[in-house]
Parts: sequence; C-alpha cells; structure tokens
Amino acid sequence: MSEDALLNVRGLTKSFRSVEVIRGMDISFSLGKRHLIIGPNGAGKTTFFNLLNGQIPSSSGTIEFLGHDITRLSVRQRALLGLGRTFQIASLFQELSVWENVMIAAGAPASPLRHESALKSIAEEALDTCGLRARRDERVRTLSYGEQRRLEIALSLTTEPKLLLLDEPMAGLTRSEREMLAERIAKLSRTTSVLMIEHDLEIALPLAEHLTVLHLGQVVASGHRDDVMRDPFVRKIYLV
Amino acid sequence: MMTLYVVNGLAYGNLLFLMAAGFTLIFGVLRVINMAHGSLYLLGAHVAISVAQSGAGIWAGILAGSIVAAAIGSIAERFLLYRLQGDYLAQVLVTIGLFMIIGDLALLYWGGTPRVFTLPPELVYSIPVGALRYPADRLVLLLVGPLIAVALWYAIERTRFGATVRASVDDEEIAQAIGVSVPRLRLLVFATGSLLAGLSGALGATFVGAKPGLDLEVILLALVIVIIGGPGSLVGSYIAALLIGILDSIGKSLFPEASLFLLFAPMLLILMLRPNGLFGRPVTENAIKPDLRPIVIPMPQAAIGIASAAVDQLKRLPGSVWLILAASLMLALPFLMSEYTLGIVTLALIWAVFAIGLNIMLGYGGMPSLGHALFFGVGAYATAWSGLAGLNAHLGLLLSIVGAAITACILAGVSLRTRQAQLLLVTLALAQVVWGVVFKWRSVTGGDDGLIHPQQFGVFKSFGHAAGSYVNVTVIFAASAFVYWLFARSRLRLNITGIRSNEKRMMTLGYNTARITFVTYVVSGMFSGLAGGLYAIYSGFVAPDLFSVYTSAKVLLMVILGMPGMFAGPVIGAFALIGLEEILSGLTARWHSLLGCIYIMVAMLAFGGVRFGRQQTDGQQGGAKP
Repeated sequence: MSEDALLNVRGLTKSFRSVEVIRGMDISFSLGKRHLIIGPNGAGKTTFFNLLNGQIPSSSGTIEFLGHDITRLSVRQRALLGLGRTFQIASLFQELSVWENVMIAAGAPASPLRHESALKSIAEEALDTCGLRARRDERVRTLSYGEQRRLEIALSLTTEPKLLLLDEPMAGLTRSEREMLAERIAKLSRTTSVLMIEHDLEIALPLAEHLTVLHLGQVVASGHRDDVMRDPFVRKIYLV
Repeated sequence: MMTLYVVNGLAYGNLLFLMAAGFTLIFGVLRVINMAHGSLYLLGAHVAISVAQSGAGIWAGILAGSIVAAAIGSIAERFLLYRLQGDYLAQVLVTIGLFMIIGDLALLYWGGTPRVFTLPPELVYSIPVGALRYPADRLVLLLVGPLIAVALWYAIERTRFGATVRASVDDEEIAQAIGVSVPRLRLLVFATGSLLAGLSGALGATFVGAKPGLDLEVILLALVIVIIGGPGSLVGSYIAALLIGILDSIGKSLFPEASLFLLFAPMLLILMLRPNGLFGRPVTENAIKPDLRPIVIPMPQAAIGIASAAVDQLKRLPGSVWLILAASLMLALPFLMSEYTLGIVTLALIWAVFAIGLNIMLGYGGMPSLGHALFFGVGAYATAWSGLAGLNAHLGLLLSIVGAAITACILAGVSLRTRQAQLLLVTLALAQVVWGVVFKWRSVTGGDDGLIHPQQFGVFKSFGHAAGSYVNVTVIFAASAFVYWLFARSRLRLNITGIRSNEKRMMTLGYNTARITFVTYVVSGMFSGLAGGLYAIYSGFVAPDLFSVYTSAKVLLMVILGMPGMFAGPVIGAFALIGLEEILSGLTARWHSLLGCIYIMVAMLAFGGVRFGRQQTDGQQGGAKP
C-alpha cells in the first residue's frame, strides 16, 4: 500500500436481500486529490458512499481510511477520524435557523475547533461561503432549494474533514449557482481530499484530476481523468 | 391446586388477549395509542351487566356491550382522531380526554360500587378440574379467545383485505390513488379494535365485573402485554397475554404482596433485552400527514385583528421588560390576593417547574413522555423521607433533584432505546411500574395511604403559612427559570434540537447523539424531581397518585397548551391549566368531564384539526388540497 493512500477498498460487497448492489469492489484513492465518480443510474454510486461513511453496513470486504480499518466503525467514529459528507437530498436542520445550522456544524466533535470565539468566526466564514449571511436568522425551511444546497456544502466544509464525500452537489442548481459552487470546491484547501459523485461532467470534470467509472456495482475504469476518458469501454457505456 | 391456577390463568389470559388485541391492532395499524381502550372495556362490561340484568339474557348483554363500544370508538375515530393523523401526541391527548369523560359519566350513571352479573342458576355449570370444580362461564373464554385470535391473524396476514390494510397504512397517498378509501379502512380497524374492547369487558362481566378505576387497570395490563409481545404483533400479544394471565393467577394467590411486580418484571426484562418486544418490529412512523381541511370556528374579523395586533406588540417588548413586569407582579401578588388564591398561584408555580422539565425533553428534544410523573413522584417521596429523617427542607429539595437524576440514569437505558410513539408507550409503562411498587410497598411508602411528613420550608416563616410558601416557591421557581434560561442558550439545547431535527446528520458530524439525549433526559428529570419536592412540602403529604398517568397527562397537556419548545410555554400552560381546573371544579361536580373536553379541544386546536378563523363567506378558504 502506498504512503499517500487516502482510502483503500478491498473486496467490498453489499447485497440487499439477494440483489448485489456492490460486487467485490477493489479501489484506492490517493491523498489530497479531487476524485470524480461517475456511472449510469443504478451503478451503486450512492450505495458506495453510504458504505464509506458507515450509513449502511457492508456485506463483506474491508475499507481502510488513512491507514485505519474503518469497516466496522460507526458513522460517528468515522466522522471523528475526519470523514465528512453531503447528501443527495439536502439533509439540514429544517426547523433551526441558518446560524444555528452552521453553529452545530462548527461545534461538531469532528471539527478541530473548541473555543467559542473560534467557533463563531468559523461559522461566520461558513455563512460567507454559502452566501447566506443576509438570511442568518431565518429558518432553513424557508430557504430556496439552491440556498439549501449551498448551506449543505457549507456545513460539511465547516468541520474541515480530511475527506469530503460530495453526493451530487450540483443537482437541481441553476447554471450560475453551479459555477459559484464549482469555484468554491476548486478553492478548497488541499488538506481536504474530495470524492464527488456528479452527473454534470461539463462542470465537474475540470475540477477533478482522478476519474472513476462504476457500472453495475463494479469499477470499470479508474485513473487520471484524461486516460479514463479515452477508455473505449467507458465511452461505450456512459458517454457514447 | 396448581392445575386450577393454570386453568384460571389461561382463562384470564384469553380475556386479557381479547382486550389487548384491540389495543395492539389500533396501535400497530393506525399508530394511535388509545388511552380510552380501557374505557371502552368498562363500557362493554357496564352495558352487558345492565342489559343482562334487565332480563334480556347474558348473550344479549354481550352483544350490546360490544356494539356500544364499537360505536363509541368509531365516532371518536371519525370525528376526532382521523383529523389528527400522524400526530400521535395529539391523538393521545384526545383519547386521554375521552378516558376522563367516559370514566366520569360511567361513575355518574352506574355509581361507584363494583358491579358483577350473577348468572341465573340455570346457566351455572361447573366442570371438574383436578379435585375441584371450575365455573364453566370462564371456560367459554378458552374457546372464544383462540377463535378470535386465529380469525384476526388470518384476516390481517392471509387475506387480500388484510394486505390492503397493511399497505394503505404505509402509504396513504398511493392507496388513495389506486382507489382504496383509507378513511373507511381506518374506521373499520378502529371499530374492530373497539368492538374487541367491549366484547372482552362483556365476557368478563360475570367475574371481573365493572367498577370505577377498572378502565385504568385494563389499559395498564394492555400496555404490559403489548410491550412484552411487541407493539402491533397479534401472535406476541397472545403469548404475552397467556403469560400475564398465568403469572397473575399464581401471583395473586401465592404472593399477594408481590403480585404487581410479577407482572412488571417480565416487561422490564423484555424492554432491556428486546426493546421491540418478543415479536415486534421497529416501528416506522407515518411521515406523511394528509392535507385535511381544518374545521374553522368562525370569529369576527375585528377579534382576530385585535388579537394578532396584541401578539405582535407583545413580541416586540424586550426580554428585560418582561422580566421586570414578571418580577413586580410576583412581588405584588401577596398583597393583592387572599391566602387561598395565593395558594393556587403557588401550586401553578410548582407545576410550571414540572412543565419546564418536560418541555426540555419534549419541546426542545422532541422526545415525548407520558411518564414524567415518575420523576415528580420520586422527587416528592425523596423530600418526604428527608422530612421524616429530620433533614431540613433545602437538603430535602436537593435530595429530590438527586433522586430524580438517579432514577433518570437508571431508566434511560430502558426507555431511550425507543423513539416517538413507542417512547410514549414505554415511559408510560415505566411510570406505572413504579406506581405499582409504591402502591404495594406499604412499609416504606405508606401504600395508598401515602405519607404525612413534617417537612416545611425553612425560611420566611414569619410571613404566615400561605405567604411563606409562596415566597419560598417563588424564589426556587426564579432560580429554576434562570437555569432553564441558561439551558435555552446552551450548546446542549442547540445539539438536542439538532437531533430532533435531523439525527442522521448529527451523527455524520460526529456528535454522540446517545449521550446528548441521555443528558437531556436526566436534566429534564431533575427539574421534574425538584417540582415534586416542592409539591411535597407545599401539600405536606405524598401519595402514589403523584406517579399516576393523570399527573403525567396533566403536565403533558400544560406543555402542549404552552406550545412545545416555546421558552415561556410551560409557565403559561401551567397557569392556564391550574387556573382552569380551579374554576371548573368550583362550577360543577362533573368537572372531570369538562377537563376531558379541554384535553380534546387543546389537542384539536394545537395540532390543526380545528382552528379559529375569519368568518367564511365562500368555499375558497380552508385547506383545500393543492
């Protein structure tokens, strides 16, 4: 195993009853990179994310994260090791205000900060990130869809995870919102590695150095973006 | 002799099953905790006895009892519970209201003496069991019980109709879309459950009979059975009912002192080992609330305008103004009021501390409890014992807080493994366990006579009794309110509200959600315990009633009346309800019925079944489906 291994997945399998959704997946992701995961509907992308952060237990196989075997750890334990994620459908604290949302994220045990003043400044920063400073006291429920997506990402950035799983961050956003978000992801510090699922290749491809293609629960191709894009099988099943 | 206990236990167990089956059916399919189930049982028994005594015969009585119960249950579902779908808290309040009304009216109509129907001599048979003879009327249960059990199981698990019921409950919108009338299905399930309650009451008419308080006993037994068997599981209920029937039969004869504990011990064991019961599955909540058109009570435009303007103005006042207003009012009260009224205000302040405790758990944490009387009672007894041991009042109150905290620590492991409606069920059951222990453990608790203790407030004695109590309670209330204010601004409050809103996300952020809910539960218990301690000193007397479901329901209503999660809500709710009780009990002897109506009205108003609105001039207003 190389030293800069971020994630090492060996023989990962997940079945729901008799249906195998992830079939013996072997793959490594290296530290500090931007990784994009693509694949047609039903390829098992979101299931893969759920296995990575512990939302659902795997049927077999191992997951190593920064050298720790995390296969049997809970969501919380993985978060404490520095694994953060966003959800496909914005998963916010709907009844709380925008400010309370970012304060919860800033004060999370997974976050490196402890002092109340430091918490406030990181929360302020998160408000700027998602451009919601003007609406800080409003309930999340009253925000527009695009605003909720932005807040969703601001929340996961606030904890400064070592690895951030972004599940379709651009879905449902307008063109300008997408560009704004892409810019923000591009500006992320390199101490945060990124694994992103995204359908909009036009905007997501330039962000990633490393591209992985999933198909029917298996890795079809994985490597440098440009190499993978030239792969004939990938062109056939996904890009045509 | 043992054979007789077992046969008796099996017969009783089958009766218990018939009673619990209706309860578990309604909870399993509709997610309604029907606190009026015992009342329907009682009605069934009373009606059966009356009809049988009138000369129509016992079979006509059984039929009449079942039908009356089914009819009342159907009316409650159609006109009240249906409008509150998905709001299990509101539904519980409504059924508690019905429980109070039916109990009160039954007492008025049939009186307070226990009634049993004595079979005419030509119907009395007995069958030899071992060396003794056993009355045949109870053995009928051994026939009817299994018959109905199998029929119910078959109807729900093996027929197309049963499948429709199960599917519709999971997704009402889809069911409606494919042409199933969900309101009619719900009504049918509720009617069946109620019919079973009435039938079991009627079948027990010859040996259990009917008496005031039986409704509560029945609901407790149903709870124990449903928790052991697993909520919603008919098979589980049947096995649990037989088990409880036999345990009760043996227990009552051989260990009368410990008989209640014999029933509760298996339940506690099950809760610790299998929170979902022997055969239960984790409860899924019905997330979708149907868009119902609320009932609008017309109000003149001017009244609504004035009310909303007043609320707006009040909201604009800064907190400091409120504080000064409240403080001056409290200082002025002793000079303005009679001793009696001052006593009522003192009582309301005590209940406010209690309601603050529940609001921390329910309002901020979203965790309902129908067993908060447990902490109140523990606090009260702790203070009473401290008085008997010669300790002073401050130590006594400290002990009430510590006692409640310890109780919460012990019970958290059992109760916090469940959520939402099931948590309501479990908290209620736990409080009843302790109520049972306090009731029976005469040497320590004084049993149902309670304890008279010498504990008194230590300071301000020169003010006289009423004013002295008032000042002491006010000071402690202010201190509690301050701690409560600190809580509302704390990280704990932010985190527990985060969990209420989105527990999954909290875990993803690395929060230890189990610890946060645990701490909240304990803090909530401590406030309630302190309130119990204050109450013990205020009244000079403690009794098992403090632990009862009435106490838990009352504090729950206060919190809901003041809107859960609103900072000042518990105080407003406590004053409103204590004041109402005072006024109603002065008006009529039937004030329990009136109070029951208030439970129902609050639930309907607070959860959107009914609201005040502008006078409707056309059909365009209201909640028409978009």
